[in-house]
Amino acid sequence: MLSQIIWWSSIALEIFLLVRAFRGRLAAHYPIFYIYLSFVLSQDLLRFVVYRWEPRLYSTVYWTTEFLGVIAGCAVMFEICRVSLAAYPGTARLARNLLTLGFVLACTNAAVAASNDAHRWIATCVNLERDVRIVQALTILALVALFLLYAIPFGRNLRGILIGYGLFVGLSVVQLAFVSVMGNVSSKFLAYLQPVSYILALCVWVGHLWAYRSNPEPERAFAFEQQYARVAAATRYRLRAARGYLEKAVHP
Amino acid sequence: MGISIAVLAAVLLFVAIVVWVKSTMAEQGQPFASGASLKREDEVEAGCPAQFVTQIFAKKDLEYVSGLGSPHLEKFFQQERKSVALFWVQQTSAQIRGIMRAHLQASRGSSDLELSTEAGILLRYGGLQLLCGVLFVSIALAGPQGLQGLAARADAWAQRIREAQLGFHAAKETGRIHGV
Repeated sequence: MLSQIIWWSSIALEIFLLVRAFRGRLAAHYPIFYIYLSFVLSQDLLRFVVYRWEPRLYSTVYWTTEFLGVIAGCAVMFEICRVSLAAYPGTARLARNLLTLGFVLACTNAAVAASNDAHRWIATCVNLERDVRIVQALTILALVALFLLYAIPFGRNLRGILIGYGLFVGLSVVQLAFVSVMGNVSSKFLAYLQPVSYILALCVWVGHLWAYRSNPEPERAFAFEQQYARVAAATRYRLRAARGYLEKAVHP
Repeated sequence: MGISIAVLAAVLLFVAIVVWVKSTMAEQGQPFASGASLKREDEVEAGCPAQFVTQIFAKKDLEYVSGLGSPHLEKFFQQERKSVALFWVQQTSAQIRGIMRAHLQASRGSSDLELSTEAGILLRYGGLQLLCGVLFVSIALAGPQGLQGLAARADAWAQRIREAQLGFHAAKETGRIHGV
């Protein structure tokens, strides 16, 4: 009964978000995110149909769509970087490299894990998704650190997308880690943790993606500040001066 | 990868998201320092003149107060000097943070941002903040005057090691000349 409630409420929230996206013209600003959401909605409907009328195919359909969902989630991360760092080309390049590295790591990890344990395919799938999600969580962590470090201003919409997706990935990592060790049937709480975390993410998205809010425009930097080599040299000089100043305390 | 790594990754992610959300909320309407501050290369010194800094850590004043023969006054003087020194370290640390903030603001818009340069600057910044932390703890434990004593002792040790090294090299050279 509870799983049915979770299933239908996530479908309802996804439809609601998509309706808001077209009414509030959000889809034009965050196309990949809404493609991802449409994909998850069709995934939910497909799983429901298979579960109801072709249950023996459910495992295959579940894991195939699950991995496609993970890849689509990586695309959402690229979109967050694309929109938030549009005005910061250098930082965007760093973030893209970081994401590509995370994506390659996740795929390599998945390929190695799949080839090692191909005969126990459900256990392999759980381990595979857990490992890929861990890499995804670490990539989001690195991106958040980058945004924090460079104080990249975020609008309400983009902030919501990142919080919701980060929450979902974080809780999925915990759930998959415990399930891979204890098994899915050992605890009902664990079995429901991932779908509940997804509903939580959907609620965050509903709250943040009600209407379009543009990303804050960065203040135009001085021409002097645009020349990176000079900026870096000036900072190095000032930090060296600061060191000398501190050393005066010890060596007058 | 076990449960511990997964839970650690998730906890780190949640903490980072909370810190990030808090900082984006706090920074709304609070712009960075103006870009013009980058040109002020004497910014750190502007906080407190160098002579004054030397004075805070000098032993001369303490010797003078000790010479007055009032233990109460001496204790009071030491407490005051310690507070001033600790405040100076905190102020300097905040100014170094300001330098880093100005750098990040200026560099984030640059199209030719270099990872190695950024990492180098970040390391240097981390080192300076660590130095501030060490200074703070040392002053809190040994007092500003004691700090110079510690530094003098460390210098003496370094000098002895250098002398020992020179002696070792000299002995090696002598051995080589004599074919030992």
